[in-house]
Parts: sequence; C-alpha cells; structure tokens
Amino acid sequence: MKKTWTLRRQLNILLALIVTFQSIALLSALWVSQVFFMLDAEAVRLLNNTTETRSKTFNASMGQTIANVADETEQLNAALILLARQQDSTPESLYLSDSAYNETALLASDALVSILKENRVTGAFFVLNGSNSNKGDPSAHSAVYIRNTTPDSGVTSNYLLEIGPIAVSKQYTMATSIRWNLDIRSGGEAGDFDFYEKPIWASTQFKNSEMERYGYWTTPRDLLKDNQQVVCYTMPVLDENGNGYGVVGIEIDMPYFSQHYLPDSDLLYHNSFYVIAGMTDQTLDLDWFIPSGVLAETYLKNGEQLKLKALENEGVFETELGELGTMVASARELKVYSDNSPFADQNWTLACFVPSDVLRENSASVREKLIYSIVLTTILAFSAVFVLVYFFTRKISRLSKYVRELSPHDEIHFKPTGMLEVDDLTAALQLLNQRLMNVSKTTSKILELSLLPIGGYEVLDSGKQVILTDFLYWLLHLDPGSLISQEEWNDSYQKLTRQPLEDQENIYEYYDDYTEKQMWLRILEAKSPNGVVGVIQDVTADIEEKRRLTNELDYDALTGLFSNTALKRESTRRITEKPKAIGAMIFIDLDNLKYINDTFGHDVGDRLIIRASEIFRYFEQFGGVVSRISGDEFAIYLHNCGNQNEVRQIIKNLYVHGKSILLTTPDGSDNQIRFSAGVAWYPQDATNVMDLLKLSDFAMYEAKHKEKGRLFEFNREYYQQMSYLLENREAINRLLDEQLIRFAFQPIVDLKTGEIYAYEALMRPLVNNFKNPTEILAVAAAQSKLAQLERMIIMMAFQIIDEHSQQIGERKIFINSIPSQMMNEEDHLFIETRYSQHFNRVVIEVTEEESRNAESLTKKISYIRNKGMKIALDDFGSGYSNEIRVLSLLPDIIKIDMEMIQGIHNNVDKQNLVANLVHFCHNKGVKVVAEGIEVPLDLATVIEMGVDYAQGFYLGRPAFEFSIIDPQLRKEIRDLQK
Amino acid sequence: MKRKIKLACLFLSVLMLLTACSAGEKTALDPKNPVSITLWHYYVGDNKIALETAVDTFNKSVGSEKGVVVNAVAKGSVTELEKAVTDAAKGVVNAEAMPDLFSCYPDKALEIDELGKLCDLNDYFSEAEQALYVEEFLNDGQFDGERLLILPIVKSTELLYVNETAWNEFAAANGQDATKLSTWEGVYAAAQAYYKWTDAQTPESSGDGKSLMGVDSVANYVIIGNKQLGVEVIDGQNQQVVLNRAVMKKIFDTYYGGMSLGYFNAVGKFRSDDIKAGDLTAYVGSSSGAAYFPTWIEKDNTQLPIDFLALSYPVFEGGSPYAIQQGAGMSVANSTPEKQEGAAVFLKWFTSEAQNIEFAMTTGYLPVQSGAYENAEFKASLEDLRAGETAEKNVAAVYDIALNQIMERDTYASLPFKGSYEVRSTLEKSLTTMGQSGRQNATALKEQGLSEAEILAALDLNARFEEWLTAIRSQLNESGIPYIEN
Repeated sequence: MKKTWTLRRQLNILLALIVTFQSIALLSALWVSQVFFMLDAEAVRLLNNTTETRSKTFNASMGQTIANVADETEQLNAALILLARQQDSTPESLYLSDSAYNETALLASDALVSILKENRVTGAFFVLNGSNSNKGDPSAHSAVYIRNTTPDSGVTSNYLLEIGPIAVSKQYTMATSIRWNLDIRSGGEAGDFDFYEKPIWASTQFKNSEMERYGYWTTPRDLLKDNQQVVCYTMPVLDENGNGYGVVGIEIDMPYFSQHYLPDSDLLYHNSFYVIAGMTDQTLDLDWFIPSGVLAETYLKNGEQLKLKALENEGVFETELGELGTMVASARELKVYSDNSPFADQNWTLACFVPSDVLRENSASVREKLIYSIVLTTILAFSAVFVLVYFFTRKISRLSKYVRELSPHDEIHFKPTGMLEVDDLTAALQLLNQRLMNVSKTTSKILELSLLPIGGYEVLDSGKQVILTDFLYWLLHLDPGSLISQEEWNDSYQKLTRQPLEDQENIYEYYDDYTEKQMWLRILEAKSPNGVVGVIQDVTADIEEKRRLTNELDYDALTGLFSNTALKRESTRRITEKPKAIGAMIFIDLDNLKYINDTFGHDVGDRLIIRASEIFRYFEQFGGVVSRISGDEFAIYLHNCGNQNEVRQIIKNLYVHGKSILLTTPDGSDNQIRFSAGVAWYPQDATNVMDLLKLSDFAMYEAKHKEKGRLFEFNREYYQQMSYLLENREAINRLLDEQLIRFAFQPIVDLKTGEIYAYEALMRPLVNNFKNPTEILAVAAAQSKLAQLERMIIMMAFQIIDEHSQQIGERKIFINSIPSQMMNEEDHLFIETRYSQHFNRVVIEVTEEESRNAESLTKKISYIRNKGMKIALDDFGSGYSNEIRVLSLLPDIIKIDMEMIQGIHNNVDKQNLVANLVHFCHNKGVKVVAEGIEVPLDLATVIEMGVDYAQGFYLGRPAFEFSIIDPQLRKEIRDLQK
Repeated sequence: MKRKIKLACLFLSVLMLLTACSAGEKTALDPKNPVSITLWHYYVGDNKIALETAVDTFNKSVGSEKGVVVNAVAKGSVTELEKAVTDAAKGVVNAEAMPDLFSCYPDKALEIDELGKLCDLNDYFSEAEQALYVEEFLNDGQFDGERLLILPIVKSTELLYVNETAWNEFAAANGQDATKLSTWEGVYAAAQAYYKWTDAQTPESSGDGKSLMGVDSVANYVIIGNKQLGVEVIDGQNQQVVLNRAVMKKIFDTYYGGMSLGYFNAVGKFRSDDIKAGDLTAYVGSSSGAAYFPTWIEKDNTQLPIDFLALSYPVFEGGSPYAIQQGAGMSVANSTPEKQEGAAVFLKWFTSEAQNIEFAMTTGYLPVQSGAYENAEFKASLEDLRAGETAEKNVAAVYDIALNQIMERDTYASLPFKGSYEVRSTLEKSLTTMGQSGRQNATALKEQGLSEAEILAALDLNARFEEWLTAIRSQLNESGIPYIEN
C-alpha cells in the first residue's frame, strides 16, 4: 500500500532537501574554488603593498633629503671657497683664524638651518678638518651641530646648539645644549668617525663626480654621547680641487626615525613592526637595525642573523621570532645610495613583520564566520521552510479541519486560500452544500409546516457533534445551528429521558426548567449504520388531553368522588402494592333517592347525593377509595386497615357518622340519609376489583331486599342462587334498549264452543341470559326497570295486535302487565291515539303479587276499565290472591292458577275450591279461566265444573304464530260440554 | 517583614561591594592588543632624551606587560605645546588629533577642561596612591576642590645663578659681598656697581659697562615680587587680577631701570646662554635649568672655566621670602577607557620614586613624591653629584638651594583661574617690551652723553609705569579678565 503523507510533510521534506542540497553545493563550490584561502593571499598581498608603498615613500623622501643636502653642501662649498679667498687662505686652513672660523661657522650654520628647515631630520652638522679652539689637537674638529627637536613643526625656535661658537647661538637666538661644546672629537673606537672619513674618502675615489655619489650613511650610533641613537648621512665639503676638508651631515634620531619614517599607522596588523637592516641572501643581518618601535626592539636581537624563508610571493618571507612565533615578513630593499656609490653594496632593507596567525586572522575569522553563516542560514532556511510551509498548508489544513468539524447544519463558508484550484474546489463544495442545505431546509420546513412539534437528531459514532433539527434547538433552548457535542447531547438526552411514563412506552415526562413547563415527549430511537437517529415529538397536548379526560373519568362531576374507573384503577393499585393485606369493598345504594327525586325533583335528589358523598368521605381518613359508581350507587374500597373485625368496626362507625348528616328537603323536614350497603372481602371473596365490586354489589342487593338500611356481607350461597340477578343486569338493559323480546301466543279456549277465545301474549327473551320471563321480571325488578319493562311489553303488544289484527280477528289478546307499574300520561296518550280501536280485544292480566301499591293498582285498573279494556287477574289461588282482592279489583276475568287445576280430576278439595270460585265469580259476572290444562281428565273436570275458558299445553302450546284449534280437540270439548 | 527588607538591603549592599571590588580589579587593557598612547611634551635636549629613554623603558617593561605603548612626541616649547593642545581640543582645521597624554600647566588644564576634554584622574588614582605625592604639588592639579586634572611630574623653583668666577673678581675689586644679592635692592645696587666697574675697565670707551643680572622669567619676577610684597597679582581666589600700584611700581622701577641702564640684560634665548657668552654674570632662573649652567664660558673662541654659585631667589626689602614653585604636570585627555587607563598606568610608573628621581635629576627638577625626598637613592645621587665633575657639582648646588627653598622657605604658585595663563604672558610680554624699549631709548640717550640720572629723568619712570599699567589694562580688557587696582 502506498504511503500517504500530509501535504505539509511532503513540502517540508522537499524544501528541506532543496535547502540541504543548496548548502552542500555552496560548501563544495567554496571548497573547490579555494575562496577560503584567497583571503590569505589577499592579506599577504596587502602586506606586500604596504611595505612596497612604505619603501617607496621612504626612498622618495630620502632621495629628496639627499638631494637637498647635496645642494646645500655644494653651496656651502662655494661660499667657503670664496671666504678662503677673501681671507687669503685655503679652505683647509679656515679653522686656524678666529675671525675666519667665526665666518665659516656662521656660513655653515646658515646652511645647516636651511637643511633643518627643508628636511625632516632631527639635526644637521658641519665638521671641519681642524679645531679653532684647540688648534694643536688633531683629534679635535671645530663643528657646528644644531638639533631640532620638532622637525615636523617647521619652527626654528626649538633649535638647540649642541656644538659651535656662541656666536651661532646669538645669531639665531638659539639655546645652547647642556653638552654645548666648541669641538667634536675623533679618535674613539674605530669606525666611530666614519661619517667624516668615508665621504671624504669617496670624494678622493671619484673626483669631480656628483655630490650624491659621495654621500654616506652611518649605522645607528650615539654620536654626541648623550644616549641618543642617531643615523647620520654625510657629504664632503670640498675645495676647488675636490679635496675634502670637512663634512656636512644630517642626523635622524631613532625615535623620530621610527615615528616619521616607519610610522605605526602603516601597520595594518597588531603585533607587527618594521625594521630596517642589512639583508643578504635571505638573511637579515641584525648587526645594526632601525626598529619601528618597542616590538622590534624587544624581539630583534642585536647581532643576530635572522634567516628568512622565501614564500611564494616575491619579497615575502617567513621566520620564527621568539614568543611571537611564526612571522611573515615582507622585505624591500631601500635605495639610500646611488647605484654608482662606492657604498652601494651596503644593503638597507625595509622589512615588515607580521605574526602569521594575525595575518591570517581575518581569513580564518572569515572562514569561521562563513561556516557559521552557512550553518545558520541553513537552519534559518529550515525554519523558514517549516514556517512557510506551515502557513502555506495551514489554509488547506484549516480547510480540511473545518470540513471535518462541519456539522450538516452549518452553512459552509470556506475561507479563500488564494490557491485557484483549491478555491475552485471549495466553491463547488460550497455550492453543493448550499443545495444540500436547501434540501434539508425544505425537509425541515415541511416538518415545521406540518405543525407537528417534532424534531430529529443524529449521533454519529465517529463525529464529535450531534446533528439536531430546529425543533430540538428550540426544545433545548440552544442557539439554532450551534454545534452540540456528544457530551452535551448525552446530558440533554439523559435529562429528556429521566422520567419515562409507566403506562406508555417511549413517552417521557420532561420538566422544562427554563420555561417552567411540564412537557411530555415521545422519543424514538433507531440504530443507523454509523450511529443513532432519533425522533422526538412533543406530545404534551395529547397527554394533557388524555389526562384531562382521564380526570373527568376519574372524578365524578357532581360529588368530586372517584369515578367508577378510577375506583377500579386505584383499588387495583392498592392491591398490587400490598397484595397480602386485607381489603373491603363496600357497595352502597341510597335507599330513598327515587322517592326524593319523584317528590322534590332532581335538584334535591342531587343534593341528597352530595350529602351522601359527604358521609362516605368518612372513609378517606382510612385511605379508602370513595367513588360514585352511578346514580345512587357508591363504592368504597378500604385496604390494609387491619383484620376483618377492625374493618367492620370502621364501617359500623359510618352509620354513627352518617346520622349527623341530614338532608333538608323543601318541605322543611330534615331527612336522614338512608342507604343499604354490602361488603365483599379481599382476598377472601375475590382477588380482583371487578369481582369484589360485583360481589359487594350483590351483598348490598341482598341487604336491599332483605333489610333496607343495613349492611350485609357477601354470602356466597345466596349469591350462587341469585347471581343471575346481578349477572343479567346488563342484559336487562340491553333487552330493554333493543326490545329483545318477542311474544309467544298460547291459545285460551272457550270451553263452551271449543273455539279459541283468546291468546295470552307470553314474553320470550331473545337473549340467552334469561331462561323465562320470571327471571326478566326478577332482574328488572332488581334493577328498578319494571316501569320500562311494563312500557315495553305494553307497547310491543299493541304493536303486534295492530300488525296481526287480521289474524287475531275477534279473538282477545291477554297482555301480562306488571301491577305495580303504570305508564305515564304521555305513553297513555300515545297508545290511546294509536291503538284505541284495539282496546276491546285487549285483556290486561295482572297478578296479586305486589299489593303494596294497592292505590296505584286501583288507579291503573280504573284506567284500563275506562278505556274499554278488560282486566284479568292472573294466578288466582296462589300467593297473595284471595277473595277480598277479587272483590276490590272487580276483574273481568279470573285466571285460576295451575296449582289448583292440575290433578283436579282426582282431587276433591280442588274440585270444591274451584267449584266455589266459579260459583262466586259467576255470581259477580266474572268469567273464569283454568290454567295448566295438560291432561284430558282435568279438561273434562273443569268443563264439568262450569269453567268458562281453559289454557294449557293440552289445549295448545305457546307458539310464535296464532295457532288454530285442533278440530279433534274442539270436538272433544264440544263433546264434553254435551 | 522588616527583617526581610533589612536582609535584602544587606544582600544588595554586599553584592554592590563585591561588584565594586571586582570592578576595581577589572582592566580595560589587553596585553595581546596593546593600546597606543600619544604623549605630547615640551621637553627639549636632555630632558627630551631622558623622557624618550624612560618611555622606551616603560614600553619594554610595564607597558608590554600590561598592553600599553607610549609614543612620546616633542612639541618644542611650552607655548607650542599648549597651542597644539588647544587647537586639537577645539578641533581647529588642520589641527592634529588630540593627544592622549600631554604636559600641562594648571591654567591650561582649566581651559581644556572647559572644553570637556580632560579626564578626572581620581578615577585612576586611589586615595592611597594620591597620598604618595607631595600634597602641595598635587593640589596644583586639583580643581573645584575635587577634580584631579593634572598629575605632577616634576617641580622646580627659581633661584639665583651666579658666575662665581666673574662675581668674585668684581667683589674683590669692589668690596662686594654675595649676601647683597639676597635682596632685589641689593642686586640692583650690585649690578649698578658692576656696570660702573666694568665700564671703567675700558677707559677708551664709556658706557660699555657689562650687565650683571638677567631674569629668565619676567612673569615669575612680577608674580613672586608681588607675593613677596603681600599682593597676589593673579588672585585665583577671587578670579581676578590685582594691580597694586605701589608694589607694581617697585617691581617696575627695578626691572625697567636695570634694563634701561644696562645693569640687567637679556640677549640669548635663555639667560644661561648669556652666561655662556659672558654677557651676564648672574640671573634668576628655574632650578630645572641647573644642568644648563655652564662649567665654562666662551671667551675669544676658547673655553674659559668658571665656578658656580647658587643663591636663593632675591627678596624685595621688607617682603616675605617667597620663591616660585612651578612645573607642568601631565593631563590625560578624555578618550577611550583603554587609553585613559593606559595613560594612567604610564603616569604611575613615570612618577614612581625610582623613575621620577632619575628623570628629575637629569636637569635639576624636583621629584613629586614625598617619599623621594627621603629616598636613599635620591640622597646618594645627590652625594654622587656633589662628588662628581664640575657640572654635576653645579647641579648639586642648585638642588641644595632648591630643596632649601621648597623645604624651609615659602614657595608660591598662583592659583589659576580662567584666563590666568594669559595674565602671565601679559605681564611677561608687557614688562619685557617696556624693558627693551627703555634700553633702546637709554642707549640713544647715552650716546648723547647723558648721565644715568639724566637718562632716568628723561625716560620718566612714572610715565613709563603708567604706560605699562595701561598696556596691562588694555590687554586684560581685551581678554575680558577682571582686575582691580589699589
């Protein structure tokens, strides 16, 4: 696999290589070209040049001095020859006469002063062949010797007369020196007087030659014995014949010589110096030398022969010199003599000494600095490369970093890099992003427009940021579009999902601290290939609505007690929480609501309910769930209040409590609120609330029926008998609502004719819950639905009569009415207007069972009779029926209970009873029907006994169509009648 | 807290002390890279040679050790030296570069210092080092009470040089006594007598008497004359010139009268030259010229040996026996630290007892370190001189007088102030000029045959005195130097 390196790294390596190559190339070039050592050569050249220049300057200046001295000497010669003539003497004997000598001395001093003025010399002198003051002394020479301490200033006042007559001093107001004398003496060591002897000797060798040829340089010496080393140059004083008789000379003292002729300022290098000495064959002869300064004096040993080693360059040598080490010397021979001078073999060489390391110091330092510079520039170049590359690639790195950190929400703003290609690319990207953004915005917009409070998020495994839609920014109160890190998101997510709702999946309760609002959120998450995506929906409105509804359902609007559902929920909850405790479900039914409603109207009835609820709130102190089930029914669930006896005590106290709460009715009386109650025990009787409720209801029912205003505990035995009453509660409602009954018709046969006199409409339930009409009646009675049942039966019966009037013909229809119930005026009116034509066919059967409302029954019977309908008294001879009743009711027909009929053919008592009854009724004009004729014998008996009509399976079973009498049977009846 | 501050202070001061100490040991000099010092001096002749020899010795020894090379450049006379230094300091066109070290009189030092070109030698000479010098000498170079601008090199005083041979001849003939030469009045009288006596020796011509007396430094004569008579003509204290008519008159009359009538004379460059030529018999001059007093004089182109008598500087009658104390020291110019230190190193070496004695004694100077006077070598050298050749005996005689004057009598050096050097030359020039013109006029009058008294009357000494004062005043006014008269 090919390595991928960052652009920065690649550029760094590339440029660093370039820099390295360049540095190496530079070093090689410098090495090959030997530039390093050129400076050495240059230094030597410079040294050579300096020496050359110095020697030329020296030569020129000395040449001039020599010429001037020669000139002055020749002039003096002429003057002295003239003087000698004037004195009638010879120049050689001028010293002998005082006056001549005085003249001579003055002439000479003129020349000397002139020489001193013209030349850079420290002294000038004139020496004669004899002494004026010591005429007999051959070693004494009259002389004039003037010194000038300041040759550079051109001032004459500093002239000092070393030797000479006082007349000279006076002439020039010249101070005399300490060693002022009149003569100079020869005769010291050999050669000491050479300055006098040599030029004169030269003049004898080359007669009449030019003066310069005779000039003679002395080596340094202490001429005046005053510790001052001087160098002298002398020329002979000649007579007409060219014979010398004295000399004119100049002196240059050593300090001035070095100051003026070998100045330090020339020397370019420290520890360097000049020296003038004789040189032969590459050996510097230090028998005598003129040093330029202290160094030369210190390191050059008098008398030494200093060997010099010639170097490449002409005139450049090398030698070792004590502590100074290796010295480079540049030497030039000085021209102090004419070529034709007899002293021309005397070599004066100017040598400039420089310590070798000093000479090459610059070069070495340049080399060093060059190396340093190259190293430094290389380092700098490296740094520059890194920095430049950094800055160059930074834009691109930033770009990529920027892109990497971008979240899809962000609008992309690429900074221009200044690189066309990159900028083109980024521009294209920007455009693409813009489009994507638009798409995403559109989606977001659509979501927004959908008005659904919904938002989405995406958490990528790789990314640091989490992507949120606008809704979530709003939800979390974040700046829209701001970057949210995964950590921040996790915090938020934790907060959002802290309180999940128990009963509803994916819904979380969330309290928004910021707006201080309670919210509910539906949060759904799904794994995506590289992370998690999720949707969060604000379902607060839904939940609130639901809660509101739940609340309505939970609480009874009138009493504020729990509703039926709430009771179930709360009770269930309590049981679930503490399943081992004992609980009691108390079912309560108000005893007199119907009465109050009927008597004082519903408002008072409502007040009754409210007052009652106040009583039942008594249980709340025991943690009881107090609820109103419906109408006048209340249920209380007590849980965990101790054992059954303790609970019984609590319940017992309810009655005490209840006595204090009264209902004041509009008639001004305070009524006790009476109620019946039933209790079912958890877990003894049932373990779920619905069952408990049913069982306690049943217990209450039992109380109601057996002893109103009492509390009954659930009795399982009784329940098993009567359970249908409860179980069919719903069924009766359904039956009533949907009129789920139909009528079966059982023929009642006229025993005189054998024809069918009437049909009894027998109610048959269309639901399976009820086995027979008795059960319907029982349940309806239990449920106080008798009125409805009555109304339904009557209405349906009339309807059927109306529909089947053709088939029925003249025959009567017996309709079983519930004696206690009476339809209201409205229903009466409806029936009268609609079915009045059928009234004469209708016989209303009533029973004697309910005699409590005798009044209402009387009222009812009178209504029936008034309308032209007949009244039959059913089941006569059983239960409540008796003769008094018959009397008071005065029914049209009496139906003798089958108890009295069946088996009558062989029972005398029954025969007597029936015979009496028939007798009694016929007396009163009341017809008699015998029920339950199932055997022919019984039929024969009743016919015999004068019973008017008969009914029973033998005569005809109940059928859903109007059956016709069997001709066989008709014949039998007719036969029996006969 | 306070304790901490105290500790910090202590620490700091110790630190400063340490750095100060190390700074003291620190040197700007580098033996490998010697600094070159240019020394300007006014010495001539043997003094010049002696200095150059000393410099050479220094360069080879201490100089090479410490990295100092001195280049001695003779600048001729004091006047030339001072002009060159002034020009250099002022940066006059074509002037030479300022020397690093140069001979300097206090007056000049003050002037150069005003240009900010002088270095305070206190920076280079510790108190202990300064204590080595004769306090009086050192004080001459001290300005504003603080700044040490001049280090004394050698000192001198003035005394009376007498050609004893000639004097004795005259004294014997005229019953004179050398003690008469102790006062200016006595000198004047002796000179008068000498003139008459010599005049009388050539009966064929009259008015050709010889002069007895010469004055090398007329300025010193005026200054010390004033001082002897209780006046400081150069009043350095008040930075003014004091012209006391009575005292000045006395001084004027003695010199002008003596010059006019030929009792005094000045021919050659120095009065010693006049002695050598036989033109004078005595003169007052610097002890530093001792070596220049000849052992012989030229007479008829031959050498005539003479004896030497050294006498104390004459005193005006009724005056205090003050003698001048003078001598240039050396000043170091403001330059680089290396050069300043190099110059100081040289000065220390040059004024150290051994060197100083050697240099001083070549011509008759006095050493500047107090120890030198007690120095055994110094005493031995003096003994050697006394036992030596005639010339050396002469020098020894001068030392006896000079040392006596320095040690026993009062010597005086005027306190300089700005322009005081000009006062010196004003006094010198004006009186010299007056004397010369008086001599010319008197010579003319003599030729007319006038007697000395007549000549003096004709010259009108009072008028000439006024003329002199006028000349002085105008010169002082011109130079803006304050003066008072009384």
